[in-house]
Amino acid sequence: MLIPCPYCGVRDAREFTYLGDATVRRPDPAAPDAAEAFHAYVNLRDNPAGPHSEHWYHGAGCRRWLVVTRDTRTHAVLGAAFAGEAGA
Amino acid sequence: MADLLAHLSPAEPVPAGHYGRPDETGVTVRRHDGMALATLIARRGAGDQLLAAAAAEGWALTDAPRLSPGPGLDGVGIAPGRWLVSAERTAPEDLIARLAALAGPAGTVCDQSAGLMILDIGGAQAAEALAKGVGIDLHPRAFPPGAAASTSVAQVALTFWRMQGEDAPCYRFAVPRSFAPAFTRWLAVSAAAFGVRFCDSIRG
Repeated sequence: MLIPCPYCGVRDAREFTYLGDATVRRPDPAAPDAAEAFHAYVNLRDNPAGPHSEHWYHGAGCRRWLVVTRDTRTHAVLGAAFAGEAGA
Repeated sequence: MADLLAHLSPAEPVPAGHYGRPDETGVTVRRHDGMALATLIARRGAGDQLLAAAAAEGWALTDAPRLSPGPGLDGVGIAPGRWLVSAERTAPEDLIARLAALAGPAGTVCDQSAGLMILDIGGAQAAEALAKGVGIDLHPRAFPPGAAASTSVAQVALTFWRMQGEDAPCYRFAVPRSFAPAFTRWLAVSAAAFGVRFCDSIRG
């Protein structure tokens, strides 16, 4: 699998470390339903068949976090952006 | 074939000498000892300010994985807003002082002189030998003089670039020093089919 790093160019996936779902957001700890929200944030994940946003760390290259869009059925990589700039 | 390097200590870099095919030298390796090295990192939002400060000193620094030669130093992009800077025949403290004065509040400088080993790998068959472990297209169209990459070679995370102004292709590798034995052993074995000469290291 090849991942197009925005800085380094197309690189083998072995240069990267997978973190997981890039769509989850840390809930507000002051909210009244914080316990349930944190349970979902920490433990519950969707398992979509199709395009999925996920965090990958380019540890052997530019050492930046990326948000990679990958089709979970084919492993086709549909895009990659720096995590901070992808709004994630 | 028996292990080419069985008689050498696995804890030491491969010493000077000729390895592999005896009648040819397709690859030449030369180590630089004591070259001044530092990372230059732009502070958040100050990248353009840092590039302008470099330009004012006649150094066309670019924010990309490329070699940016300047007066008496070389910059190589290793990440957005980050460069590995090297200077030959320069004391590390002089390079640090020069970069710190250049960057001012726009960037930070960190000495890497003791942490990295610099190897110049050249020769007619250098690209062919390196292709055994470098997962990057080294064809001149894809990786021309001045191109640079940070990648993993034989499980060692390193930065290398193709040097400019050389007749034959020559690649300069910055390898974490503690991986010097592992990396040079990989290099000697990979280049053995072409004949490889590890030259005496040069100072600075």
